[in-house]
Amino acid sequence: MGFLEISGLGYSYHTKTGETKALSDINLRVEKGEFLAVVGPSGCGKSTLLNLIAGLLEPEEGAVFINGIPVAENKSLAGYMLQKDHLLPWRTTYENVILGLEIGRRLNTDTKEKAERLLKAYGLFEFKGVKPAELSGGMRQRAALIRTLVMEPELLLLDEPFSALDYQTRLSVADDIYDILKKEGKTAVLITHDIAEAISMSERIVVLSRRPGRIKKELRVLLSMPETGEKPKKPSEARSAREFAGYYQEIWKELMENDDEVGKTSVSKP
Amino acid sequence: MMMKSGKLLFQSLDRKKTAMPVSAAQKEYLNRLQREKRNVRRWQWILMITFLFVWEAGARTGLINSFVFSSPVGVIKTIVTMSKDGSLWYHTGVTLAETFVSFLLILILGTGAAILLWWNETLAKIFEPYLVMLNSLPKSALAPVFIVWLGANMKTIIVAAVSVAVFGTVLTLYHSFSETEEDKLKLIYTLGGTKKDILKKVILPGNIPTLFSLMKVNLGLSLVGVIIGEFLAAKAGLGYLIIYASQVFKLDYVITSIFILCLVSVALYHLIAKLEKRA
Repeated sequence: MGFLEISGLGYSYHTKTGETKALSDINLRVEKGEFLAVVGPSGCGKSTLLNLIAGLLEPEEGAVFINGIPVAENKSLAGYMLQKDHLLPWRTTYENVILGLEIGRRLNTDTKEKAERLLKAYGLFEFKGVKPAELSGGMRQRAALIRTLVMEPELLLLDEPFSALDYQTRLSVADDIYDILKKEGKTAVLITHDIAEAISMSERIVVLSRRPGRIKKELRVLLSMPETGEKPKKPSEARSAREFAGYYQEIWKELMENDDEVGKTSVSKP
Repeated sequence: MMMKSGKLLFQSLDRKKTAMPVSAAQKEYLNRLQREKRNVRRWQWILMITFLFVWEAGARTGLINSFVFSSPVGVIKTIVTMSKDGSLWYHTGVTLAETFVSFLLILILGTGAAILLWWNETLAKIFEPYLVMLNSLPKSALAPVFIVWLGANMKTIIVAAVSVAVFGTVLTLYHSFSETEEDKLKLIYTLGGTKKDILKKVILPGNIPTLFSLMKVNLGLSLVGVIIGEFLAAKAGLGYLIIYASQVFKLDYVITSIFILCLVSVALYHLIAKLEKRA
């Protein structure tokens, strides 16, 4: 059994006007330390998938296991990173970072030390007493990641964590976050609609179809740099890897095919 | 990137702290602001002095009837006599105490009820139309009923004052609570929190600005309620004084009471504004 195991997962949203099937028959397995990306057109149920893995939603069909335990039984195994940093403006950087510890009543000398160590390691220590409004977009996102990491999650769920940033910041924050996750040896599932981001950060990519989301394609990402032939060291480098354009085309084609099927698949309302 | 953003931030912080060499244009700009401020102040004084002067002159020349309209000097004389016999402090104190108690009750009841409604959505749905109705009802219509129920005493006055502001407070706070960004709630859940944590860590601290602006409004409203109550059911207080003095045609006392009410409301407003700055 893999570290994260998803079997036969399905989910529908219910509104007054009817039922919308968001996900259908998702089967996935992620190994420990692996970085998986999930791409798909908007509204394909990517975020739903993440919410189900995090235990924020309960599956209607199938189940999610982390380390063999159903998520519903132990919700604290997964850490979640939202699109925006959502740092609370009235708290300092440090107070924001320890928010989860406070909530879980896990604030002690050890965890405080861990928070300080992470702040130091990722260049935020001098800003620990500063309110988020004074931090740059990249710093805020890093603070948000530390807030998640300090809880020591086994699995990290990233829900388009860079989409609220401008392009330049986005690339450098992606490098930062990638670096942090590799150093901390975390298993991660990244959800994005940015194909380049998925290829440059992950080891494996899952392409979801239009609603209801199903796994359309799975591909392993193996990149090598043009001169050295080595694996790229960071996501921003990966964009100039030999195989990059090939993967890009492949995924792009999958997503476009999705578009052609719009007429056929979007009749989910009764 | 880390270095770059760090350096940029330091620069912007430095700019705030150290005084930069001031250019002539900047000096000119600051001077203009200063002049503008002084100009406004000057006109405020001119307006007040002219008003008082015209009023006093009108009363002395008989242009207006000083028996009905009183006069600035008459008001000052009244203040002096009233502070000598202590009635000024007594009536002002009574009104202040009633306002203070009502204000606190509105704050506690209003916040409590808003939390309850936010906590239980069904409860909110059930009570919303009633609250809307009670909020738009003119509360002065209720005051005579309170007298019958509670008697002509301080209880009636406080209940009247609370009824003026409490429903609006509940509605405003409840709506502000429910408008909290969905993702902020999600954040707390992803950190393993519960609804109680959302209340403690997000809703309450996030609504302190709303609470303060409500307090400023409620201050005025509780004064209104207290004065209405005192009109109808009091043996002391500035509202009582106004009614009593107007009935015996002591207009000096009426105007003096109104003047003191002005001072009281301005002072209380500034008190809250000061608290807000410290929060």
